[in-house]
Parts: sequence; structure tokens; C-alpha cells
Amino acid sequence: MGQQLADQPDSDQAIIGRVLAGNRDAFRTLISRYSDPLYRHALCMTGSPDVAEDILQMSFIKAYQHLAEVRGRFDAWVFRIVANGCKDWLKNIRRTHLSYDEDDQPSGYATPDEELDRTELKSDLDRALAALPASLREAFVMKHVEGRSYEEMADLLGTTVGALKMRVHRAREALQVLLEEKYA
Amino acid sequence: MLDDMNTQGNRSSSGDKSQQQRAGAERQPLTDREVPLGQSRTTSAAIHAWLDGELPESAVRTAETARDVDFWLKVTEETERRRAMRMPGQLEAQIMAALPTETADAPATWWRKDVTLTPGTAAVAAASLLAVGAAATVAVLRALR
Repeated sequence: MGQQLADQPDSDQAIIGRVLAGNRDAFRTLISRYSDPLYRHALCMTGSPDVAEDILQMSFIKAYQHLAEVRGRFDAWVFRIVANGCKDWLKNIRRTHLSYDEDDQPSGYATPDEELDRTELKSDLDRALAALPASLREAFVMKHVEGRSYEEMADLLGTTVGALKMRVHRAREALQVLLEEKYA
Repeated sequence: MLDDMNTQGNRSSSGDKSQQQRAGAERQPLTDREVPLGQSRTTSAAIHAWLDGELPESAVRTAETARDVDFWLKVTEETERRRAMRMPGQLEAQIMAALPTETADAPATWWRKDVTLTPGTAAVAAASLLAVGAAATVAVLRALR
């Protein structure tokens, strides 16, 4: 029983308590616990690894500075900081091209032809996603890249399941218009 | 952004005026990289249900939908591959190094916060106290008459 308790990871609330008590290093646990999905969100929303890293860094710093204000789930709270950071960036930026390299990501494709096809689809999907309005892009990314349920999305974005289904459906239809000539 | 959530599109009750406004908006140059969603298509409800995990692929694949199903299988393969992406390893250390040196404190209630007294605020406080004192003195003297 004691061993079971020792093996259980600390709750976010317990970690927040330790940080607020002066243990700055405990914040590292919160970063490593949530950084991957937050990074994926920022990367898919902005299309730029550099921007995604900047948004993540600023968001975690903001979270640290306001940690005492967390009410409820830390992961939902920090997600909203990152999502708002992405939306602010999208509002301010005017870009004509976006792409990101994933040279450090291992490729699972057997032949050069398959690899070429995948790279093409990746960049075409990037361009198509960038062409969507931010609200549709956000909904599509949360559903299809992050694999979240509509209920979870509604909880994080503070909207209804019906509205999010509508956004995802519209995003799919817009993406299919943009991509189907080449891929359907 | 030309996105709106009006699923009725041009069938809106506002009629011609709404259509004119929309046509005018479409003529305007786009100011960013987002595209208007005018050229929409309708994906069948069954395809959406399959993509939402409510139906199996076998229930959706027919002669008419085979193209759509194959298209979304390709896209899903790519989106699922993105789901495995991870934050660059060095970023965690960068964030920790960039954290402010002061500890994130619990919010102090206003009466427990430190008060910084500058010459300006001291003068304002003194003037306020004098004004309140004078007003109280006048009120007391009037009450005694």
C-alpha cells in the first residue's frame, strides 16, 4: 500500500504547492508533464517551430508568475494561455509561406517514393491548415492532431460541443476542397 | 476573415442585402493568408460520423464514398504522425533558465501587501487626512451650535 502510494505521480496541485512554497525546480515536472501536447498545438497553429518554442516559453513563464491564481485544472489553464498566445500571434502576423522541418523526427517510410509522397502531403496539409480561419484550424488541430474528444475541447475552449462539431466539420470540408484535387 | 458560422449561407432571412454585403466582402483583397470558405463542399454525415469515431470504416465505405474515405485515410495518417511529435529536448532547460528569479508567491490580500511610500503619495495622504480632519471638525462644530 505504501509502495503504491509512493509510485503514484504527484498531483498537479501538490506540485503547485511545492513551487509556491519556494521549490522552483518542482515547476520542471509540470513542464515535462504537459509540454509535448502544448508544443504540438502551438506548432500546428503557427506552422513554425521557432514561433511554437517562443510561445511555449512565454506561456510557461506566465504560468509560473501567476501560479497562485490557478483555480481548477492546471492543464486546462496552461492550455488556454498557450492557445491565446497562438491566436495573438496569428492576429499580428501576415505571412505568405510557412513550413516546418522535422529533420529530427524519425521517418517510418520504407522507400524514397513513399517518403517523397509523405513530405508533399505534409507541406500541402500545412498550407491548407494555414488557409483556414483560426477558429476552424484550432478545432481541426485539437480533434485530429491532438486526438481530443469534443467534450474535452468544449471544456478547454469554453464553448459547446455542438459549436465545435460544426467547426470541425467545416474545417474538414474546407480542407477537402483545398486538397482533394491532388489527393482524392 | 470571411468565415462566419451561418450555416444557412445565402438562404439567410436578410435576403438581398446580406447577399450584396457578402459579394462586396468577396471582392475585397484578402489581408492575410486565410482564404474565404466560399467554395464549400458537403461531406456526407456518415463520413463525419466515421471521422468522429462514431461509425466503423466498413459502415461508411460505399462506391460513392470510397474516394472520400481514401482521402481521409491519407490525411489521418499524417495527422496521427504529428500526434507523436515532441517538444525539442533543450526547450525545457531554456524555460527553466528563463523563469524569473523571484518565487511565484501566493497572492497576498491587499491589507498584507507592502506599501511603498514616495514623497508624492505621502503628500497626497497628508492632504487627504487634513481635508478629512477639517471636514470632521466643521461637522462637529455645526452639530454643537
